[in-house]
Amino acid sequence: MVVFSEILADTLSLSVTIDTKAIPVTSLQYNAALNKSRKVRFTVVGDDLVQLCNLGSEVIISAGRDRAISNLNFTGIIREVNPNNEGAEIIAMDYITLLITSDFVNYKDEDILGRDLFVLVADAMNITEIDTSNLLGGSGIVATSSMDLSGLQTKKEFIDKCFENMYLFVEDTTLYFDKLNPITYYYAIHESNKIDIMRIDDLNVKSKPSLIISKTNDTIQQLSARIDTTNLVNSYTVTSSSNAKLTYNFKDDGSITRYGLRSKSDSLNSLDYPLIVDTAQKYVEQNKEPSFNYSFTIRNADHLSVGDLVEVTHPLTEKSILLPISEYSIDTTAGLVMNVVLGRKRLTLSETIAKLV
Amino acid sequence: MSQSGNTNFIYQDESNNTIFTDTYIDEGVPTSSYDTPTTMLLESGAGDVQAIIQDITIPKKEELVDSNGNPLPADVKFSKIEMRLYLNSAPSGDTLVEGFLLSTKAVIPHVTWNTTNGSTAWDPDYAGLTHTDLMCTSPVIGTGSSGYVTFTFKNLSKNNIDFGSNFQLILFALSSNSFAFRSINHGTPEDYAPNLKIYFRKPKPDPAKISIFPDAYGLNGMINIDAHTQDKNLQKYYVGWDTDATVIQSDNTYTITDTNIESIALSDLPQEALSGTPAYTKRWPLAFNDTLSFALFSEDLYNTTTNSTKSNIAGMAATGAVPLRPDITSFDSFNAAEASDTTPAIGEEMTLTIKDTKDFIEFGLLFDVEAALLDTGITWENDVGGSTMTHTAGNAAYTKLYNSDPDGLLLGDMVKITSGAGTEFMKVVGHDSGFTVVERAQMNTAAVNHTGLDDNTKIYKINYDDVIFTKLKSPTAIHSFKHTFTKASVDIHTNHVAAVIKNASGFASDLKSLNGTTGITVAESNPIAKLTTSRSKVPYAKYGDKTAGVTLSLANSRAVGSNRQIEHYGFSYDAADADTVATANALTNNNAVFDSGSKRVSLISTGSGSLTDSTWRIFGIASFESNGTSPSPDNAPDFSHYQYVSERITVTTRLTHALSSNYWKNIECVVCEEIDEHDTGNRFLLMAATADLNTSSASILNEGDGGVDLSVSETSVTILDSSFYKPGDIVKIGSELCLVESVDSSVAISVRRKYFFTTPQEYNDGQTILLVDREDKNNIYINNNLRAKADYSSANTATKYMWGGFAQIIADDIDFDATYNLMYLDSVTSASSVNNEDWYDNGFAIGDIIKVKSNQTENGTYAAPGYYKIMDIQESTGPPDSGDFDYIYVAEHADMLTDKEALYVSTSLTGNNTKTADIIRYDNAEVPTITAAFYNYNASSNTYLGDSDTVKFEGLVIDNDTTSFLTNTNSDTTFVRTVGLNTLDLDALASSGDIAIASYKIARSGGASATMPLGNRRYPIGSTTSRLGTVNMSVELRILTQAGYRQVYSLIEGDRYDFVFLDSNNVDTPNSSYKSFRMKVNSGTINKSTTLASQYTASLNLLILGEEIV
Repeated sequence: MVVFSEILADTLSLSVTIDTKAIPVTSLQYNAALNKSRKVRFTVVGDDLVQLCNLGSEVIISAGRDRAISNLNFTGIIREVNPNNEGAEIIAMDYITLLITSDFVNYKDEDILGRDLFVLVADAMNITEIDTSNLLGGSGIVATSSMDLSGLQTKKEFIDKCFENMYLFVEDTTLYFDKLNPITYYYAIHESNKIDIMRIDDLNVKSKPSLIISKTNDTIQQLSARIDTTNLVNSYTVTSSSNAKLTYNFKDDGSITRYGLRSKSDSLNSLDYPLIVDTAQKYVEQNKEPSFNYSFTIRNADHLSVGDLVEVTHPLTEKSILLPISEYSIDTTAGLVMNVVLGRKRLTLSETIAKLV
Repeated sequence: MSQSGNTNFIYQDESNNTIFTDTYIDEGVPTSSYDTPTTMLLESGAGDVQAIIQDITIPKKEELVDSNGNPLPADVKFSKIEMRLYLNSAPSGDTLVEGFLLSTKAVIPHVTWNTTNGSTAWDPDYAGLTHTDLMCTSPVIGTGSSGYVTFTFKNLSKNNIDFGSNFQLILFALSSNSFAFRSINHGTPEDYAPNLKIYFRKPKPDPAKISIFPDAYGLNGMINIDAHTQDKNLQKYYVGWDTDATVIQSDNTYTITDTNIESIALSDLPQEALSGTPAYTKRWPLAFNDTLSFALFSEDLYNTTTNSTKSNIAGMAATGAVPLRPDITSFDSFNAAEASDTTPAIGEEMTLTIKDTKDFIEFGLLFDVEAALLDTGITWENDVGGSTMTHTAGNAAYTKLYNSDPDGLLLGDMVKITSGAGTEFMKVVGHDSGFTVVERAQMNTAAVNHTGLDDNTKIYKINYDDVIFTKLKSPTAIHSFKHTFTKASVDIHTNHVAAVIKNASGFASDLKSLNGTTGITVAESNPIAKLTTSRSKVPYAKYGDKTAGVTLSLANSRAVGSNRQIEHYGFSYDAADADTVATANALTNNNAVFDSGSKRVSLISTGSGSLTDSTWRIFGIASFESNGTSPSPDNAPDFSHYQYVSERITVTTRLTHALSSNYWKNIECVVCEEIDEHDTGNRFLLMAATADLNTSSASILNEGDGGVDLSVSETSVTILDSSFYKPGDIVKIGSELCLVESVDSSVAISVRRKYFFTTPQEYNDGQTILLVDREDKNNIYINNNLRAKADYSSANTATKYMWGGFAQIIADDIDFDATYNLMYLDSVTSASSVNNEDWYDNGFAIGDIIKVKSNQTENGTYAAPGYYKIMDIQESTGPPDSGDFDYIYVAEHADMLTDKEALYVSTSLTGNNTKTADIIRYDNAEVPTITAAFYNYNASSNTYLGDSDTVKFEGLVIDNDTTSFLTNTNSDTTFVRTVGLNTLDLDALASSGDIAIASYKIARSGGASATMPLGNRRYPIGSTTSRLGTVNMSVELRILTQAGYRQVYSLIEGDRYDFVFLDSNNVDTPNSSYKSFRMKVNSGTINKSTTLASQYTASLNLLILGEEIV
């Protein structure tokens, strides 16, 4: 519903309805993150308007520069009302929130084992309020008993368990610089109530970004990086838990020279020595560099959404790197200001081994 | 029945206890005792009888060994004895000797004919009463007899004679001949003494108890010995197996000497041939769904082979009995309407149903059979098997999979080979000399006549670890479950689902493919296109900057299918008003080349049409001399300052530099103002002016030819020192750019002339061969994706989406030149972006990566395309295509590639002529976004109109289908409203007398800071300028008229004007403008006071956004 037709080309257009009733709002902020409900926070003034904002009421927001900006289109329900002496601050979540509070579902092995995780989560997301029509296809990753997916749980719990396992490693010297390259899956509602599953293959040299930024880029502000060596491992010893004589240490001298020795050891329940060697090598390959996380502010880039790839060039990285947008917030107080956080999931040792063995 | 054994003839036991004491008595000398005689006489003459008396002690069985020297098992039973006596002298006539049990005990050393012990009288005569039962009898002993005489015994049991028994015999000759046997006391008893052979019976070993159980997967199994034979004399086991309900020891006998063994693998058992059609030379039990019987046979030393003890029979019946080998009778797919359906769509939820005639308790699924295949490392063995594997079941070779390691394939392995005739799964049922015995036509395949097999033909097998088993809560003969096919394929091997079931015993059926050989085919599905825009109301780029456009994004589009990703994005547009132009990539400009100094730029049209009126405008920062009008590079002495300017460039002849006059430092926006009528979707390249590229004087020409040393066409260049250059570099000779193809020696390089549309010249020795800075070379394009004309209505996809950078050539005649890494277009089809043999016209340019499929498959296929980088595009000088830029030179050195490109871009071609090819531009693949800026103009007057319009954008997504570059596609459209800007010119208002500008103030703040360091440093550090700071203006007005009041009021209200302008005039010429600021109102006040009641004053705080530049 268009509440007001804007005159100028560069004005934020906004239409907010609660249970189909149009209301004016005095502030609006969006928060989105991978695998989470998108949240909007807005303020209404006046008791009459507060009366319309009931918990559970449906909120539809069309916003943007003349409303066509799909990322600002939102459909959800009111989850929190915080009255104050002028009116109330309203927090609405998209329909992923209904998956969190769903009935408990008993997921049985005979119904899920062997099925593609993509299909399983698409089934679980398929509630009346969520449009899953885009979720066709699959991931090629099938449910196994070791994933421990079955049992009585909410849909969101089940979905998140599936996504914890929705990653795979690819080895292809024509597409990747490194030996071990994770491809991960995430989900989000980008627009209205249409849910999407994103496949992030950011290390693939053929993957291209939706946005390129650098320290000298004149379209962004407040670029900051967090370069974290907490999980860096450049010397890794793997020992068979069944036979202590089966042990292998792999070191990356280049990484040790640059970042200092950071060693780690672990055991693997296998007597397969080649596997032990392979595991050590691949784990170091995957973790020999620090993790880079970036955040920046950009204006009028509201076409960006979580999961989109951004290419970052920074003096501390020898080459440009692609990172997915892991979360963002959009504030409309003074223009359309989007704070973007980039970063990829770093897989744990057990997650790495689970796919290698 | 127990079997017998015996000792050797012995005269003493194992403890050297004597068995015999003996003597004889003589009726003719009735009182004499013959203590320890060496011979014992026998005579039956009346009154002269001689008889032998023996005292025999049968050893205890513990003191005996059998004839093989084995101690007697404890459970043996005494059976009989034989005795032999050695003839000392033969009788004069035939006689028998009979031995009777002495009922009156004789004392051997003292016994005489008259007394038993020298004092007790007795009557030992043949007819006397001193003996009872006849115990033994000799054979007839004749005059010629010699050596041992063996006596057979009877009445032993009657007289309770057993191991350890002692008894006495009296032996009589039945005729009167006199002869003698040697006694125990004979000098060499081991040779001549009386011997006894003791017979016994060994009871059968107790039977073992066995069962059969499956291995983890259930296709092979083990015989488990649940209860071993306890007989301590157990020597070995045999396993016998047969294909009916009975089994005997000799059936496929397998001998086990380790009697402690707990289990025996069924595949360790001997294989058996199976007759019929086809015939199998060997097969293991369990290989087929046979009735099977297994038994374990226990053998001791005496109960051997067929006399060994049989265990229970562990059986497996083909039908009807338990345990029953399961057998999936059907495994089918059904759609939501419960109808059989073998062609579901991607994402369609199907019901898969497994049926058997008997209950099963567990089912296993292999959802992707192909993904579960392992390379066994075993290959077809051409030397033995030849190159053919027949498909005729009656052929003796039908079941023989000749391979490099027949023992390496195990019972139940499901193997796959692929030949030119097709793919076939086979089940391993046995192995034989040089080949594995297989059951053909398994899973979803039929037996095919494999030919062309060789030692490189790989044999794969299914990894059963990939089968996912699920236990059912209760046994059932039918089970259904949901499944959704996630990828498309017309090949039934792609969506190959197979099932296996297990019964309560854990034995598995064979893998059964879904719908048998019909399989499942899933139609390809088009991706889902989702086109979004960053805004839908967009002002025309009259004041071009980074905010004067829109970003179109297809990032939220999705491929459908787990094996599909979106690879290409296309964009096109259609404006309702013919005067509206959308410029592709208008805001996507790479300004890196200006880091080394401001430069002029060239705009080049690559399309074949000769343009006369293609007008473009560039917005950005340029460098000037102090007069503000004379452009100057910022490294020149006359450089004074930068100005935000725009410059109009008109492009004319194709592939010709249209040079800017300004030296640009930063280009924010490039927009086409007017499309030439001959523009058919031309691609425009905005590049740094070749004259302004930074260079270094690396070496000089040193041909030594005399006269013209380097002609206009020479490509081999002799220089003083080639060490400065590497392939891929650009050198500048005079004003001509050349690409370094190769460094041939320390003084020679090969180059491609007239590079980047420069003109070749003749050069003489001493000419400097300048090396273009590599950073400048790598960033020579500021924008190589500019397009203004979109052929939205074209039915040809490759044409329609050229605006967004899509380019495709489908050649029906292309020559690949491997020597020079060239591709010549001789003929293309109308499905190409443009139907001619001109690479440029079809949308390609230097630096592009192309993706190639050809019937010269070494250069690429749809499934594995070849990737090449275009390093040069030139025209053939001869027919058929002279005039067309019809051939490309592709990178042939890794130095010509970036690190990322080097991973996948090939630097070699396979040469051949007259081939076909499908070639698509790839470097812009997987880029989901594009920027665009708009302009609305009057073609006849070449003036800006700014009329509002609606522009329809269409986005195309193409997935990575492996059968075509352009099969699975989808498009989405969206509309953008393009609008003119509402502006207010305060200078004009002042000129018209509506307002008076009392004062204005321009301020900029923020962006730089500095910090004093600790210590005694005089000046601060850390003064990096992170931004130039926000610039704003405050203006004080006096409003003189109602018109002025209305407009200033609207300005402050904020919904009337997009921008407001105010000039900042020159100091020395106050009536001419130095800059005209483009601003937005941030805040404003209108005041009225009693001082001048007829007028208003106003204060405006304006945010300066740019300049009014036209």
